[in-house]
Amino acid sequence: MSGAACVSCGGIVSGRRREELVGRWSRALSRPATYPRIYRLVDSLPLCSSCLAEWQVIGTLICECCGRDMVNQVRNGEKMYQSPIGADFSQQERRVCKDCLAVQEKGNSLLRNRGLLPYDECGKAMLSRFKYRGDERMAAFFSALLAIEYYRSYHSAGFSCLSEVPLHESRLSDRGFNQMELVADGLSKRIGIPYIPLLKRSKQTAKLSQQRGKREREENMRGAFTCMYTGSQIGGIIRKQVREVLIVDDIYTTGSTLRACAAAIREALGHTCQVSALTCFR
Amino acid sequence: MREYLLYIKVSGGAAQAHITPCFQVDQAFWREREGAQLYVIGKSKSLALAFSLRGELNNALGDHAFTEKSVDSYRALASAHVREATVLYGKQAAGMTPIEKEWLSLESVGGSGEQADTLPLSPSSKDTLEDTDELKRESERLLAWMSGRALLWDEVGVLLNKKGWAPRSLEYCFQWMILSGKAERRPGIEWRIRRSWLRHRMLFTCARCGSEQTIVLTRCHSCRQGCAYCTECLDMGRSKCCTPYFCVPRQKASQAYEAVSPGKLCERTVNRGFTGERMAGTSYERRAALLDWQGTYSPMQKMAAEKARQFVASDRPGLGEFLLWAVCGAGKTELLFPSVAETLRAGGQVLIATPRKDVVLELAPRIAKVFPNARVIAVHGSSTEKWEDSDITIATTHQVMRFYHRFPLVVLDEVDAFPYHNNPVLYRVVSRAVQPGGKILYLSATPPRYLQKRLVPKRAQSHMHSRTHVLLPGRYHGSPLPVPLVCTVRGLHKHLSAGRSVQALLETLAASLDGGRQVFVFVPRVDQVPVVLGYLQRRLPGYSQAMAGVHAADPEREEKVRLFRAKQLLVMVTTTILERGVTIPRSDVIVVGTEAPVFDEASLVQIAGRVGRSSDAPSGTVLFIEEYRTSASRAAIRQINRMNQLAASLQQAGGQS
Ligand SMILES: [Zn+2]
Ligand SMILES: [Zn+2]
Repeated sequence: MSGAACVSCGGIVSGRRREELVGRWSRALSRPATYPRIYRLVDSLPLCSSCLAEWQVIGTLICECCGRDMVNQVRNGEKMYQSPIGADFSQQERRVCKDCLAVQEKGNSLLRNRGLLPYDECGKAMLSRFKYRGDERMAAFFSALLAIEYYRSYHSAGFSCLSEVPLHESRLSDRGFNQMELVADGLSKRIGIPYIPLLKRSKQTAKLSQQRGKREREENMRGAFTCMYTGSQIGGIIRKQVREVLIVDDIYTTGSTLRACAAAIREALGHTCQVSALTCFR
Repeated sequence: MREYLLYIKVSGGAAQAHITPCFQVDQAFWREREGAQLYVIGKSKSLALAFSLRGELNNALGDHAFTEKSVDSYRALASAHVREATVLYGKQAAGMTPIEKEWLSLESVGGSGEQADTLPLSPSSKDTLEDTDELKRESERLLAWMSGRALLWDEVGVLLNKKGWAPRSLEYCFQWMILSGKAERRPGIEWRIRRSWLRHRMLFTCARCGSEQTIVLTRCHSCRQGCAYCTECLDMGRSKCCTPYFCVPRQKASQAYEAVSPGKLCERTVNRGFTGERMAGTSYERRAALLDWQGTYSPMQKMAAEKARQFVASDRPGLGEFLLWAVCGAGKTELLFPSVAETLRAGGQVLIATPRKDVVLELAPRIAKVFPNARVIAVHGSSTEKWEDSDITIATTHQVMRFYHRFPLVVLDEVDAFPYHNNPVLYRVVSRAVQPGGKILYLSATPPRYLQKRLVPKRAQSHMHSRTHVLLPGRYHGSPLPVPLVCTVRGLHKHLSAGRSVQALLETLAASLDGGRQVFVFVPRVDQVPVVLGYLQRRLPGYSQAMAGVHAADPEREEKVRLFRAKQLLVMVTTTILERGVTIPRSDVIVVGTEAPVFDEASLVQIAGRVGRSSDAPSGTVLFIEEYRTSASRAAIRQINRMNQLAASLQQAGGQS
């Protein structure tokens, strides 16, 4: 990515210092098996050396359910809880945050989520340039972020396919493109898992800013998605072989969108199918 | 999702192709004009495709006389063109898959491919327009709001929202305006097929900013056709193949302002020279042109201002551009007043375009003060008066894109600092904001070569002025420009990072500070700001609290500049962002690392121009410290010396006469 303009600050992407930083980040994000891939991905990011130096990545202590960074929370005295993974998941225990514990008790169709970056001002600016300005060229950047996180957290998972969170048809027609469709397509090419659009948004939900609380949002989201596949074949894969599905989104806020997606997929494919999520920001 | 119908209108033997998103409006329009017959060719969801087909058809129609039998041949021609475009788009969009069966398609209408589809057969004949009176009224109203603007569909929505008005059907109103010849609907991105022996290609052009290299193909869910968008002007909203872009030249009729507040119209004494016989036009224009300025011109300024005014007043055809070349600190804003007044008096509106928002914000109140009866608006990204009507508009370059054939006079301030400097986009955008036959006035202290070549005639290079330029080599206070001193320091940057003494830098800085002056220290790159700042703080500990560093992305930039203006800070280590605009009386300048390519001749002249601006402290020190000798710094010094000589000879000549 040498010589390009930095997507975050517009600076020049090159130099020895940047090489060093790419190496350092790659070591921090990878295991020996994934190092070469992660190195190539980090190096491909159009970020200059000063932005890479200040880069914040969600760390090692996370909620094992929603992928939230817990380092500061734990330091501030927030507790983490041991939680058995719901009845139809394996009985293994994991450490989760308070929010996830509450969701878990009501039954959570989403197995887990992982995100790479905290949603800070810089992330906001980049996402809005992509999503609202419509700079589709940013898709490559976001799919590289997801690929990095995939190799870090999901490398040993066996996903049959990946899918995106769809937009409602009318919003899609207004906006002209679904940013996550582009990202999912790019991610699929990077990690070699087929991209199959499984879902359709059947209910137009109000914009995030116009919704009041978490509960209302959860309520609104319920039944907002339907799975488009009911036959025995899913885009060339035999339905029964689909054991694990990955859904990608730009950001995990309360998780209600992704939970609704997971519920729709499991509704159609059976409750033995496990759904995980991967987001750029958490 | 819009669909565009393509049809041929035949009346009195002449045939022409048209595009419409609402055929019933066209039917009603042509019904009022006798004898027009309409033959539908097909419909498409891509406006760019319809637009391109219209061009092809009109070419073909110009060549042959139209007969009813030939309609099928025109349909065939259209389908052939669509097929060719589909193949080419597919090639150029390698790796992408179309949403529908084909990348581009032209559907037939009405199912009767054989029969000529004439008037009564309409795609939605149930919805015919009987009464057009209301449509005409609404269309007139829309015309008044849109007059002199070029807007994408979404921007029209924003404008009308701001005005608190919604027509029954915006699409109908526009179509009526277009049929009446008062507006144009273009696709945001246009394409044409370029054929060559090597290969044929589709060439895309942004109708808004004119870029060709920055168009990205996209699988568009709005039109579900092969589409493209422009990345150059993306910040202003997406311009796509399927977004309608409306261009409406300024209409004379719409100048009728809704009542100017009477309080503003109190008659004041009119400033020197602009009273009496030159006053023409209606009373509103006379009042708007009132110039209330108590300052005085130096003889040199007076000459330059008059030359510019003559250019604006001249109705000589072909004389469209003028360069006002005034050194830093010549008082160029004041020079504009007569030209602006001249245009206002003739009933025209003036646009002053400037590269940066802070200049817009600074300029607007100054202009408003001297033209007390004129409506002055500041137009930038977050401006609330963006959509107002005005006599004088002060705008950033990006905003200039939204104007269309509106201004008889456009002033381009600091033309060499524009983001599109030396980029065809700037010229395209500016020449579109000007009315046909209007004037562009360039303002610069360091005009770029291409502009000098165009507007400063070879023969006239030793003269101060020609028909297309005027040079103002001296400052308003009459003192010469400070000439930079140059000091070459081998291993400059190593010395700085190692903390070793760089005598010239430290001595000059200390002398300035001890003399009670403030100092700009320019460095070439962002990462050198902390290095040089730290170095100076360690070396001059007595002043270390009064030093700060600033760069473009610095969140505290405005605050630091404010403190510097307030003399709370005495030394400002900065990148070239403070090269223009910020003027501090009693300040000196040191450039550390002149050899870096960001410091070209123009940039160094501008930087040196920071010093000695005020009349009570017209001198100061400018020091260039460089690692090795460079041509840019010599050229800058040569230019400054030349200006000083010219100014001196002018003053002498003035003194003798
Ligand atoms: Zn453009
Ligand atoms: Zn489109």
